[in-house]
Amino acid sequence: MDELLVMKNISKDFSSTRALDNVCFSVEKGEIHGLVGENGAGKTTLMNILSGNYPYGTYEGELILKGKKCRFSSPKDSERNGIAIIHQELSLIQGMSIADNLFLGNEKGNSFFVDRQKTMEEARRLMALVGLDETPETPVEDIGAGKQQLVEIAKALSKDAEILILDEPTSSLGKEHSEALFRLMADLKAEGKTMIIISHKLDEIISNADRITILRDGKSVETIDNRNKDADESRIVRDMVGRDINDLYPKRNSSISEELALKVEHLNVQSRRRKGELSLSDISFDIHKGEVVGLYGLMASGRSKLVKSLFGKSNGLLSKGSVEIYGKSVDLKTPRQAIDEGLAYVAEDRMRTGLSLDRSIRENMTLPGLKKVTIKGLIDKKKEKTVAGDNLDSFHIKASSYEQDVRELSGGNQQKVLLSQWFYTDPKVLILDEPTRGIDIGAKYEIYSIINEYVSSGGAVLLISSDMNEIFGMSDRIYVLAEGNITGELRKEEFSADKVMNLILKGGKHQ
Amino acid sequence: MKIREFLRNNYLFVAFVLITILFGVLSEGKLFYAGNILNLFQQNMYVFILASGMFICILTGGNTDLSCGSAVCLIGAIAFRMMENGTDGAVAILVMLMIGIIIGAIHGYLIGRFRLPSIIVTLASMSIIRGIANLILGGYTLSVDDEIYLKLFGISKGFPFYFVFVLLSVMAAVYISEFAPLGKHIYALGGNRHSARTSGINEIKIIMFAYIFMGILTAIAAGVVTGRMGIVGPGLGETYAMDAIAACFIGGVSVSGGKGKISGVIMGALLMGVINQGMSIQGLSVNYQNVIKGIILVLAVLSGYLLNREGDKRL
Amino acid sequence: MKKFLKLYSTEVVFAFVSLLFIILTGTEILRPMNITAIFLQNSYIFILATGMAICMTSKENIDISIGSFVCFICAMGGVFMAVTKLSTPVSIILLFILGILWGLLSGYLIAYLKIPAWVTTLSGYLAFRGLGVALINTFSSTGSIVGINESFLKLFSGKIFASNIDSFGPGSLMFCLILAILGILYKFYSLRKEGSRINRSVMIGCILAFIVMSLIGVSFGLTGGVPVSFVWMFIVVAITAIWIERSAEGRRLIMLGANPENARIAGVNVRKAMLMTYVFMAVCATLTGCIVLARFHASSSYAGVNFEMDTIAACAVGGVSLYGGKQKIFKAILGAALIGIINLGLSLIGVDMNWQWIIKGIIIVISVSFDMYLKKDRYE
Repeated sequence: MDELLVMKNISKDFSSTRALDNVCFSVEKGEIHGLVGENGAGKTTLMNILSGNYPYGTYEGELILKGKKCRFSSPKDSERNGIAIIHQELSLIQGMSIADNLFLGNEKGNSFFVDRQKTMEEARRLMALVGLDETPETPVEDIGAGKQQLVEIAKALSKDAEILILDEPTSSLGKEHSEALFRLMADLKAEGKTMIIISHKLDEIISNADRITILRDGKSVETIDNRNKDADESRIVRDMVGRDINDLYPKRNSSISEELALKVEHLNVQSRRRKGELSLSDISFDIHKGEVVGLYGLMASGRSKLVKSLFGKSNGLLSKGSVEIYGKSVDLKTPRQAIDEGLAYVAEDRMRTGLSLDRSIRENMTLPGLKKVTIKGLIDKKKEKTVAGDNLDSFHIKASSYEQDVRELSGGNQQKVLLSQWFYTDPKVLILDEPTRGIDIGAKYEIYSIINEYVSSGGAVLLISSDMNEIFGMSDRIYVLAEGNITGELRKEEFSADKVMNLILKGGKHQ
Repeated sequence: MKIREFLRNNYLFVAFVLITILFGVLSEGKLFYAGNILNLFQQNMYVFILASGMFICILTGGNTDLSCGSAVCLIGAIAFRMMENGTDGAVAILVMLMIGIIIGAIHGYLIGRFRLPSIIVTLASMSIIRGIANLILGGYTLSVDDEIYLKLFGISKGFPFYFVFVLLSVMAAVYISEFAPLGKHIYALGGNRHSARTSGINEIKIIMFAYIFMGILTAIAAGVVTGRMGIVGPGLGETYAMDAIAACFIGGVSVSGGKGKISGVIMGALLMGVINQGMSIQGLSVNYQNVIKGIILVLAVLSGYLLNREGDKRL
Repeated sequence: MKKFLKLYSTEVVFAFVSLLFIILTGTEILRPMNITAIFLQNSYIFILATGMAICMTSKENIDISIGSFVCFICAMGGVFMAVTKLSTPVSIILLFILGILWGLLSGYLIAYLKIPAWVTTLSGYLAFRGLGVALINTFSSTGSIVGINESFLKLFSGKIFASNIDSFGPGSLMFCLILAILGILYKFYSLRKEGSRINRSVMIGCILAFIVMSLIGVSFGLTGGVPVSFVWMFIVVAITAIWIERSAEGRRLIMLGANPENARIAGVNVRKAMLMTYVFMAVCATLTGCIVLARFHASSSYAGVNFEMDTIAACAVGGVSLYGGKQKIFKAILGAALIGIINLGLSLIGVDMNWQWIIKGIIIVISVSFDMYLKKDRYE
C-alpha cells in the first residue's frame, strides 16, 4: 500500500456542532479517490483541513503526508507541499484574463516585470492540457461557468500540485465537458498525480474512481474498492443515508384537504451566470392545505433559487410561470407582495439573510409582520412586547429577555426566532429552507412539532432539506429536483433513498 | 453593427474628439492656438500626475484620496518656509518627498490595515492637512527664489523639467498597471477581494503601496505646481482631488475598482483639460465651470454603469 | 468596562471635552452669552447631523454635498426674495421644492442606479457651490445678495420671548422649562404605552435634561431671548427622534441599516427607504439654508463652508456607525453639541481657526477607528 496521505483521527467542531468526528481518511499515490456523502456529512470540511484553509490548531488529529507530519498554517502552506484545492465556488477574478487568473500570485517573470511571452506560452500549454479552447487573453467573465471550472483546474496544475482536490468539479459542466475532464484526470493519473474528488454524481464517481470513501454525519462509514469500476451504487447510497430513519420525527395527525394552497406551473428561472439560459425550467408542483411537501435536491440543483424566485423574485432573477395561492392567481414581484399574499420564506442562511444579529429578538420577530403591530404608522410597542413574550414561550426560546441581541443566542434559538418571525405573518404557505441546519437534536424536535402544529391547523409547508431523513420524516410528498428540473414525485408510501437517488441521477442523465 | 461597436469600444476617444471640435468651433479656433495648447498642458499638469496615483488607488477597490489637493498645498508650504529660512532647495525637495510618503503611509495603514473607509479617512485628513497648511502659511502667499527648485520645477529658461515629471508619473502608472506583477494583484484585489486574498495576495501591502505611491505623486505635483508659478498660497489645490477623480472616472475606471486602463485616465485628463480650457476661453466663470464639472462626474460614472450593464449585479 | 464604553462613549467624550474647555477657557464658556452662542452659531450642525444620522443609517451612505447645497439655497433664497421679489411663503415653498428635488435626484442615483454615494454627493459638493456663487455674482456685485423679506427673517432668525439684554427675561426660561417638561412627559407617556417601567436611568436622564434645559433657558433669558433657530432645531430633532423610535417606517430603516439582505426578504423596500433618507437630508439642508440666510440677512458665497466636515465629525463622535445599524439620534445631537463647544471654545481661547480644521479631522479619524475597533469581529 503506497499511502501518500493519511488523515488520522480528524475531529472538528463548529460552535455547537461536531462537523467531523474521528475521521480517518487515506489516499494512495496515483489514485483517483472519490469522497461522497450527503450535504453536511463533512466532506468539504475535511478537504478544507487538508488544503490548509482551516489551519493547524483549529482541528484535532494529524495530517501525514509522505510519512511526515504536516501542520499547515494557510492554503499557501499546503500548496507549497504539493496540495491544491479547486473549490466549488469559483474563485477567479472575473474582469481579468484567463492567463492572468492562471498565474495570480505566481506570476511568470521576476518580481518587477511580468514575462508576457512566457505567461502566454505557459497559459496555452496549461489550457491545452485541460482542453480549454480559448485564447489566453480572453477575460474570464466572457467564458461560461463550465470553462471557468477548467481554468480553475489549470490554475491548480500550474502550482505543480501532487495532490489535486476537486470539490464538485462537474457541477456546472455539461456532459461533454465532464467527459473531457475525466479524460484529463486519467491523463494526470498516468503522470503520477493523485486526485481526490468530491461529488454527488455517483455514476461519475463509480465510473472513474479507484476507491470511494463515504462520510455520514461527520464520521467515515467505509472505503470501497472500485478498481474494476463495479461498486454497488445502492450500497453507497445506503452508507450515505443510513438505514435507520430514527424516530426523531413527531407524529402528525394528517388532515390533508383537497384544496390546493399553492400551485406552481411552468416556472422558468433565468440563469445569472449563463446569460440567455435557464437555471430552472418548467417547474410545476402543488401543495395541498394541511400538507408538507418536501423538495429534495443536491446543492447545485437550484432549490434555493426556486424558492427565492417564487418569493417575490428576491434574488433578482427573471422568471416566468403561473403561481396560484388558494386559487388566486398572483404575480409576485417583490418580497413585500409575497408576504401580503400569504407566503413566508425562512431563509437557509439565518445569520446572513434571515436575521439581523445586532438587533433585539423583539425587533426581529416583528419585522416581516410589522403591519400587524402598526396603528396609523406608529408601532404599538406594548403589543409588540406581548407578541415577543408569547413567542418566547410558545417556541421555547431560551433567552434572558426579548430585548437581548439575537447574536447572543445559540444556533437553535436563533433558528426559532427566525421561525417565529415568519409564523407571525400568519402565512398561508410556509417555505422552509434547511430549517434545522446546525441545530441540536432537542431543538430539532421542537421545530418539527411546531411545523406539525401549523400544518394540522390548516397551513401548508414547502420543506427544502439536504437531510433525507428529515425529508422522509416530515413530508407527505416529495418532489425531486435535479439539474434545474423536477424529475419526479414520490408519495409517502414510495419514500426510499434508492428511489430518490435514482430520480436525481435521472436528471443528470438527461444532460 | 460595426459603427455601434466602434462607438461602444472607443466612446471615450469619440467623446474627446467631439468635445474638442465643439469647443474649437465655439472659440472660433482659438482653442488650437499654440499658446492655448501649451497653457492647457501647463495648467493641467497636476491632473495627469495626481490622476496617475488616484488611478492606482481606485483600482484597489474604489479607494480614493480626497486629501491630495490639500497635501499639495501643505507640501509646498513646508518647502517654501524651509527655503525661506535658508534651507537648500535640494534638501527641501527631499523633505517634500518624505512628507508625501508619510502621509501616504498613514492613509495606507488606516485604510488597509484598519479597513476604515477611504472617503472618511481622506476627508478627515483633507481637513487636518488644510488646517496645518494654513497655519504654516499664516495667510500669506509665499514665493521662492531658490535656483535648484526653480530649475527643477519651474518654467525658467532651460529644459522644462516639469514636463518630465508628468511623463515619469504617467509612465510609473503604466509600469505598475501593465508590467508589474504587483499590478495584477491590484486588479485582482479590486475585482474580487475574497478571491484575491485566497490566492495569497497581501491586501495590506497592496493598499499601503497604492497610497504611498499616491503620496509620492502628490509631492511631485506640489513641486510642479508651486514651481511653475513660483508661489504657494492658502487655497491652493482645492479642486485637485476632484479633478483627478473625474479624470479617472471619465477614463472608464470602474468605481468599485478592478477595471480601468491608464490610457483611459490620460484621455480623461486630456478631456478635462480641454473642457477646462474651452470653458475658460468662453469666459465662463469658475463657478459655472464647477457646476459643469460636477455634472460631468456623475455622467461619467453613470455612462460607465450603462455601458457595462452592471445592472443586476447587486440588488 | 468595554461594554460601558461601547454604550456611553459619546457621553464620556462629551463630558471630558466640556470639562476640558471649561478649564481652558477659565469657565468663560459657561457664561450665558457663550452658551447662547453655541446654539445661535451652531444650530446648523444640529439639524444637519440629524439628517446625516438618518442618511448614514444604511451602509456606505453619506452626503458630502450639504454644505454646498446650503450655499445654493441661500443664493436661491436671495434671488427669490431680493431679485424676483417673491413673497415669503412662495419663496419658502420653492426652496423646499428645490431641496426635495435634489434629494430625489441624489437618492435615485444612489439607491436605484447604484452610483456610490460619495461620488454622487461629491458632484453635488462641486456643482452646488459653483451654482450658488455664480448666482450671487450674477445678481450682485458685492458678493452677497441683500434685501431678504422681513417676514422671512422673522421666521428663521431673531429671538422669541425677546427681552432686554441687561435684564432677565423669564419668558425664555419658562419656554425652555416647558419644552423640557413636554419632553419628559412624552418619555413617560411612551414608556407607559409600551408597558415599560420608568427605571432609574430614565429618571436620571429626565433630571439631567431638566437641569440642562433650565441652564439653557437662563442663558437665553439673560441674552435677549430664545433664538428662533433653537426652536427649529428642537422641532427637527424631536420629530426625527420620535419618528425613528416609534414609526413603522423608522423601524424598517433601522433594520435596513442592521442587515439590508434580511430587510429585503422581510419585505422592506430597500431602495425606496434609501431614497427617502436622501430626501430627508436635503430637506434638512434646505431648512439649514433658510436659517443661515436669515441669520446673515444675505446670501453669501461663504455660506455652508465646511458644514459637511462639522456634520460628519458630529456624527462620528455620536457613534453613528458608517456601517449602519445601531445609533440613536440623541447621540448625534450630543456629537453636534460637542462640535459646537469645540468651535466656540477654540475661538474663545483665541486659537487660530485652522486648528478647528485639524482637530475636527483628528476627531473623525479617532472616532471611526474606535468604532471599528469595537465592532472588529463583525466587519470583515
